[in-house]
Amino acid sequence: MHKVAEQLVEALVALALLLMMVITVLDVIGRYVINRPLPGATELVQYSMVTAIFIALPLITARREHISVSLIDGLFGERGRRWHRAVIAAISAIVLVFVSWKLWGHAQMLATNRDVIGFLSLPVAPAAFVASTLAGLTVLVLVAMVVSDLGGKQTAASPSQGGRPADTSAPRE
Amino acid sequence: MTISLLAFAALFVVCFLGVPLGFGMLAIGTAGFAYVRGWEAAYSMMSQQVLDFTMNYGLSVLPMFVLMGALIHRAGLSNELFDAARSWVGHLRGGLAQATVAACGAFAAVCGSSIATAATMSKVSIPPMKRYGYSDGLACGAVAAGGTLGILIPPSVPMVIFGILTETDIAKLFVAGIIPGVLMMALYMAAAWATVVVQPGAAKPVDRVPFAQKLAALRRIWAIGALFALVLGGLYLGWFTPTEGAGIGAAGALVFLVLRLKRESARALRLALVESGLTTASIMVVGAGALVFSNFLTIAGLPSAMTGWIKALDVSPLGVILAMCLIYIVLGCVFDSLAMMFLTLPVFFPMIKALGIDPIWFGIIVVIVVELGLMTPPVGMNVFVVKSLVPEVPTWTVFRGVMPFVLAAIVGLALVIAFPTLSLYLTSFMR
Repeated sequence: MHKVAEQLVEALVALALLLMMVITVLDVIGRYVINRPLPGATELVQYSMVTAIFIALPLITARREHISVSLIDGLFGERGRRWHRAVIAAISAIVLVFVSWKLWGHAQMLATNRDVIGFLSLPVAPAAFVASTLAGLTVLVLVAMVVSDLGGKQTAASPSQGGRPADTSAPRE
Repeated sequence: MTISLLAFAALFVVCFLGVPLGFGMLAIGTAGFAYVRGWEAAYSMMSQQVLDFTMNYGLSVLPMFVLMGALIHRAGLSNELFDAARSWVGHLRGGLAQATVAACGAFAAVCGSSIATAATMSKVSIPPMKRYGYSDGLACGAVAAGGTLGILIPPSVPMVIFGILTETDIAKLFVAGIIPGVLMMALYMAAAWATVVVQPGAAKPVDRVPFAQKLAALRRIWAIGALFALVLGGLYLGWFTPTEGAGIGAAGALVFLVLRLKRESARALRLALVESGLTTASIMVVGAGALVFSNFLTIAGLPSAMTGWIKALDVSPLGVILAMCLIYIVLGCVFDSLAMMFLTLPVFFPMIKALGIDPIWFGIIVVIVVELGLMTPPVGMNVFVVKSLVPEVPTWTVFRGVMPFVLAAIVGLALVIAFPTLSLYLTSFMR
């Protein structure tokens, strides 16, 4: 993915998480100190979370940071590894095409039913449309990855992701 | 029943090929659901579950605890922790390795990730151990093992995941982890001591530190104690829900980070936010996939079939727990710790409930076996983390060095299984 796009995505993810934290703290402080919880805190956290997850999806996909079992990685040579990665990306793309498509349908249904959440009665449908769109964007990222893996170029986003376990920048558990 | 076994077989094949676990579970779960109920129902189940899961308010506990750990990790208080631990136990046999374990335990009290714990502590503890002639195996093994305390001593990301997957009270899981966590820390320290008793060449002695200096070292780490007390105390007393506690903990960690890094904290905050966001997203993808897969398993009747089968076998609950532990230890050799929980809990947990086994106790047992998986070859994440920070030490040296700690962990597991009260005593005072 392009450098600027990557930074934009990172900034949005960071912002969403920061928002979740601030809302939660204000909510608790409000409840105990001025005896009034923050109205709509729950919905805002829900919105921030779904946005953060789906915005991050193309990025973790491009960086191949999905949780997976990487037992057969070592079996291939350079060429085999590229084919292997292309096949994995292609399978992932097919799965996400369905997810994106069906989420869109789900979003349309939510929009028709005018489903809302929480105290502020925010509509749910926009979240589903956003999720579907970003899943679709991830499909494009995956297609680009397949093309670049088979086209002989190194994937720009992750030149050294082959030996996964060394990555300590993202402690997972 | 047959279809669910087929699905499991397909899932294993797909995963071993290297397809992201979440996508594999989602696809196979949807296809399996379609086989039983038709495609229309399967699609609507899938899209609804994915959206509900990613918008579930209760799940925001996950990113917030991950963030708390990341902020603490970035704040870099590992030096003070190690110094404090060293001044108290450094002069004992294998004292620096014991201090490493103790410092990891203290760090674990504000961080829910074993990898972050191991990564943070190896930077400060391995160089002094090398200076005092500690063998590579002992030095690296102590950090790799100590790091696993990160997930047993609350807060703990795997406990959060267990709580989410099984709808078990996360606050109670955290509180239940305290005594086993301290016990495990003591056992790891004993393992370090025993290693040096058996091979006196593995470490040189360190001078004793005057008492005043010990107190001074403790005073420098009061903030850790305060943050732990705030989060765990708040949960214990029911001041706030786990979700709120996680948000408060993250905010507390942020305050801490700003006080320590001052001008540089903006950059550290941004890095922590981004890495937590990406980590959360990658866990959530697997979570959503696991949810879809377990919906399929339920309508295919696997949990009820397994439950009926286990009842017909008439084995004791203890036998079932031991069998499950064995399965976890085997799976732990190849699977990522979280992946293992996502894969097994939809099947195991209904059996546990049917047998009347306490879910909190079972949760602690699962976390300990997950810990074991982090230390055992060929895929021990913690070993890899330590190894990546000291590239000159061969991987197998680290695996050998961690073996005494693996034995200690097995002893700890046996104790936690034999005495459920170790896990449940503290929770008995909670509402």
